[in-house]
Amino acid sequence: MSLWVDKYRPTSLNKLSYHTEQAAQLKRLVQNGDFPHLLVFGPSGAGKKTRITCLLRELYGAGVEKLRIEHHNFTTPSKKKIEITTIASNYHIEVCPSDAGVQDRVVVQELIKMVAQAQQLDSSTQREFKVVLLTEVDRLTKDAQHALRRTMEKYVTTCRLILCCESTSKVIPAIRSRCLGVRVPAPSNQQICSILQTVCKKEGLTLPPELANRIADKSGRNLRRAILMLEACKVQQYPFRPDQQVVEADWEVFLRETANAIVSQQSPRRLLEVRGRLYELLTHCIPPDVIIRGLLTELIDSCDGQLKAEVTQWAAYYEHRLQLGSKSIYHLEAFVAKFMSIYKKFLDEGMAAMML
Amino acid sequence: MQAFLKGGSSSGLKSKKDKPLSDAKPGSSKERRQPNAPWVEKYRPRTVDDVAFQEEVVAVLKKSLQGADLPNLLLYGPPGTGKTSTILAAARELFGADLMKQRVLELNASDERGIQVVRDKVKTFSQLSASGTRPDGRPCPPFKIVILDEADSMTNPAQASLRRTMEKETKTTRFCLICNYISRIIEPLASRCAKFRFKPLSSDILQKRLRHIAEAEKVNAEDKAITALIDTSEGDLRKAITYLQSAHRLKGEDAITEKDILEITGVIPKDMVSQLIQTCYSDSYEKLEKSVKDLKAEGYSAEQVILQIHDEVLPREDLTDKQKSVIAEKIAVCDQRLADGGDEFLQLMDLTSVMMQQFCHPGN
Amino acid sequence: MWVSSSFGEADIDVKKPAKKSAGLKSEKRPFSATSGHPHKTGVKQEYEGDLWVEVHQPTSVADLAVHPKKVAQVQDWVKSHVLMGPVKDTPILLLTGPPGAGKTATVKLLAQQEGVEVQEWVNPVTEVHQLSTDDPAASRGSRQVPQAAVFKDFLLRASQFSSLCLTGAAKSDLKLVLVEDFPNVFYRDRAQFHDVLRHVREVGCFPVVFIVSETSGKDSRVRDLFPPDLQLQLKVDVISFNAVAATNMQRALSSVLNKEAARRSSFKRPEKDRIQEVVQVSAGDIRSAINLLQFSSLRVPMDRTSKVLKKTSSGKGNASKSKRKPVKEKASAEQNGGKDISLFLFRALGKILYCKRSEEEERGLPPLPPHLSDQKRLPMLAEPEAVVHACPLSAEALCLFLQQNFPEFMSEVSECETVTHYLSDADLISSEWAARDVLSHYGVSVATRGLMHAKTAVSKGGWRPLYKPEWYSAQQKFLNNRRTTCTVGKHVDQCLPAVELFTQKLPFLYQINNSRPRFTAHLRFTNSRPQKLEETEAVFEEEEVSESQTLPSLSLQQCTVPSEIDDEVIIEEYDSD
Repeated sequence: MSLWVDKYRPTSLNKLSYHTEQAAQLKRLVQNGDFPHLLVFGPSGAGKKTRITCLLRELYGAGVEKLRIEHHNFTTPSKKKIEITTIASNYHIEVCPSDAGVQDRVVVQELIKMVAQAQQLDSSTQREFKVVLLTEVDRLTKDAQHALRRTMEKYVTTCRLILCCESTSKVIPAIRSRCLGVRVPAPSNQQICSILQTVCKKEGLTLPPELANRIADKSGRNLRRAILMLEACKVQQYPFRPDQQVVEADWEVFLRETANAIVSQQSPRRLLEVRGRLYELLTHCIPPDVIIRGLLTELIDSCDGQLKAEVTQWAAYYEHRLQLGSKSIYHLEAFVAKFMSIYKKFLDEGMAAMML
Repeated sequence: MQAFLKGGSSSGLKSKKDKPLSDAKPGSSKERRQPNAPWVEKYRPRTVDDVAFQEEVVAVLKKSLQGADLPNLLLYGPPGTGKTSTILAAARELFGADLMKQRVLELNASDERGIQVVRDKVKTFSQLSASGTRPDGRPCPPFKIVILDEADSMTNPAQASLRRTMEKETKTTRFCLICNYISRIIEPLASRCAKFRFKPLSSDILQKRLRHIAEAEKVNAEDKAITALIDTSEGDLRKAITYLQSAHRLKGEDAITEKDILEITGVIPKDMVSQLIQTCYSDSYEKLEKSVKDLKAEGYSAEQVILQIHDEVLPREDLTDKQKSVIAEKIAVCDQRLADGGDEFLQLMDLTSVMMQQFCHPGN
Repeated sequence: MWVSSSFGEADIDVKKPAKKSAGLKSEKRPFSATSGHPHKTGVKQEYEGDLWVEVHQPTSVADLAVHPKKVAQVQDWVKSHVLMGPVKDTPILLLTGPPGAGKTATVKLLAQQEGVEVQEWVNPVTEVHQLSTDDPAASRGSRQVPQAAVFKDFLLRASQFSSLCLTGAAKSDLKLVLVEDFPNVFYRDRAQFHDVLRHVREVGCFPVVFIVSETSGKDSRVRDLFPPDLQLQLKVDVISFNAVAATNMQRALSSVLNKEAARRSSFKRPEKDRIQEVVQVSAGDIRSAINLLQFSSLRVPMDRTSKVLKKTSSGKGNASKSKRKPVKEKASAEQNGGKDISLFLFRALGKILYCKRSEEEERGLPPLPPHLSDQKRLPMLAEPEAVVHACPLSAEALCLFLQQNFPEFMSEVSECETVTHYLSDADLISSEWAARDVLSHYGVSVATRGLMHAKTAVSKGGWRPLYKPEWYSAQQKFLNNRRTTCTVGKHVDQCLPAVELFTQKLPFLYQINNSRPRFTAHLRFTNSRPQKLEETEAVFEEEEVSESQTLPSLSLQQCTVPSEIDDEVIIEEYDSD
């Protein structure tokens, strides 16, 4: 059984349902024969990956869809072995170099070298280069990014890079200036709605527009999430009802309960309980920065104006420390304690004012 | 062109390491059709005279060229102002295109320059003797040139060791260091070089060049687009040309508009930024959150947002100095946090909520 | 039921040096190759110098302190795989668990009971080669066979042929290969090990049992040597042992004491309390428990070291009144386990967390300005740096202990806020990798002093239990989860960034498949039960132990479709924690 998200993923540039102008431009880029390195960026669930897949198909034809999973071993200068899983066709290879952690530099260099030096298997294809698709470039170390920039110059004749990331903030300018930036904005709510309707039509379901709207709203302009939500809703209840509850990810619900627990009581004891829940989230591989962001969104609802700004600033403060520090729990907990303290003071003052 | 030069100039050293590559390279580059060459390389100035806007530097260089001698050079200035082009053009005039391959060593990668690598490469290179004549019989200076691009990214120990190398090889080799920030070159090294500062290019020069290239490549660009290019490139000609070429690749025969340029350069349209700032005046956290989220959903990078907020807020006349300083300080903090890997949404919210506080409740 | 300690090993070596040569079938432990030979305890009588761990090996399955359920699991495996006789695909069993949980002993005793012969791999000791005068390199090359090759050879030979000759009469056709000591190369080169395993799986015919001690730390050997996908591929059965439960431990210890009393008439039993303490201190490690018990019942006059140490750690210049209570409370514990880490740790944590302050103000200090008056504190009785110094933990671990335990000692949220802020500072200070050596000391100072400063009031209500940090087990769980899901996740969606896989795709996949909610178990605010740091209640109950170890085994039972891994499987697996 394949998920709707995967089942209804468009496979050619012509079939993309939004940002069609951009799709046309990409097509022209391919026909031009003068294909630069690309840096595709945009928020999660905006369709970066889909666009890239379509682009690859446009470049190489259907052969690019025959994928295989490969395991590569690299040896660092310090004789450490790194294993990396890649997904490849005859024409391209896809890898997430940040999987290799701090050793990502070696992976980037070796992999591109390997691809660039291997001869194109099928010489009849019109392309004289292969494509290396690197995902999560923003999580690469600076070291690896510098190496990448050098490598992309060196092997420019035999391979092209497509870099994929959420934001260009963490990509060094040297790379940015060597790539053609392709910004993929998130689809608007209307666009999401119409895509949801299309999916339902193909599945032979009827989707009330109200529900579609609410799903789009909840998804935060994230198409992947919207379609996943839709499918979850269908599992939960079909035929759809306009006022049906939109299914959310379980960890989000859990996070909301955690936030409620924080708001309802501020005591060392509660802090301890919240810590248990934070650990629970962490062990389920929810990244700490996502947790802190989610907590903020939930907590902010029970604050008033001035407090909101203050809490936000603290969240940003501790989130930054989270990135620098080594153990996320310290900083998560510090944020929770901070909020409890601020909030308690706020409540106490409110009480005092009422008494007067 | 540049790719060709580079391949040639360092081929003597490279061939030892990666043979298969150097075999493959000339073949494939011949096949490449002309339009594939980056315009930056295609329109690189051929002679020192062609170098735009850097009159003082050019004058001094020309004098040394006539005397057929060259001091050790340190070229510094913002990116895209013609530093590399100048030295390459000078070398071409000195040696002629053919001899240049043998006489010029260009080291331009930050990662291939450990102390040992530099020493070895420079040593092997400078040990080759250089005669005072060209193959065609014309005289040429009896030395070789080592170009170290991005010298400011070398570590201090590496720079210190370079000092020794420079002194030792002074008879046969001239060094040309190129960097953006002269403050990152250690003093003893800088003092051994003739220093030339490259100024940012004026918008007239930029416009002339861009127009010239656009005509030669038959690019259909609106005036506004060129202006936008000049605005966003901040005097960096290389950036401007690269953007122009990218735009041309995307748009083909169609006219390039201002919007296209903004899209490629990743610059946020002005009205979006001012709208965000306007939201800060609303004193509504919810509205603020929504517009920051929307901005993120459009895919713009927080770094760029902060940069543009900075440009937008500081000249505002309705703000007191105190307000501005509070905001500027927060901008600095957020930018640093972003550089450390902080979450974009949170940092933006942090900054904008401070702005909101300053706009609406300046007392606090 | 407990396996012999490393002391035992050394002991044997001295007595029978000849046996320890090539490493094949050598006798590392009294039980190994010769199954069916109960150890003769009666031989060495009235000899005080023997190690109890060795002398009082369990002699029957019933003696084992391991939880009966686990024993039954292993027994089932032995019955179903070993007793069937030679089969085509070599069955492989992996036993994991903390050190001293009785893994080896269980296998050996069960084998003995079922009449199965055990062959054990012991890392060969590399012979020091006499440098010959001519070409040392060449001659060394000719002699030294790579350890990995020897290991492979051993596995294959041991599993293909019945051993030629064994001293025991109980020679049987049933055999079991036991590997506990992995050649060092394999830690570096895991792929090689995996290749050997695959080969053995195809070729061999005698069952192989691997024993891996799970240490709580960042890198897990189990995960390295037996990654989930390999387990799946080779159909490795996994049984995880838990630390020995307190009740079982107590039973075992008293049985040892009984035996000892029977052996030596002059033996004087230690008091009940002391046994209790040993049980707590050993944290479920029966081997160390027995060692501790033996040392504590030596009839040597109490050594003075512990007292000296106590003096230094309790800080200088304290008024004598401060010593009264805490010392008395823990005096016995300290005497008993004078060398044991957790006791010092316990005291150190207590000093920081209770943060006793003198009642008199320090004289000669200028008063604080009014705006800082709320920062005023009385002088501390314990110097935090001295406490940290006396504490055997690394700075990092100490901070984790403090973080785990501080909320119980705080009365106000604002105090918690200060503490967490300082802890966050401390983490920041000590996380810079390059400067860690220097800065970690400052980090821990910031943490301890910050915590002590934050406490505005003396904790009332006496004694509180201390817990071990949850961070390690959480981290381990996290790594396990990530690894399992990532390996399988690649099949679901190619190269979807991990973050999105975990925050978007998996949760919904889960709900679409209508599975049991993942988080329910913790919706009722259970504080996921951290391990207590020594308490009289039954601390080391089976279920208390972190669930992380059970994950691999569960995932295996459920992932029965190795070739076509579909969505269902991941969900199940994800659910297993």
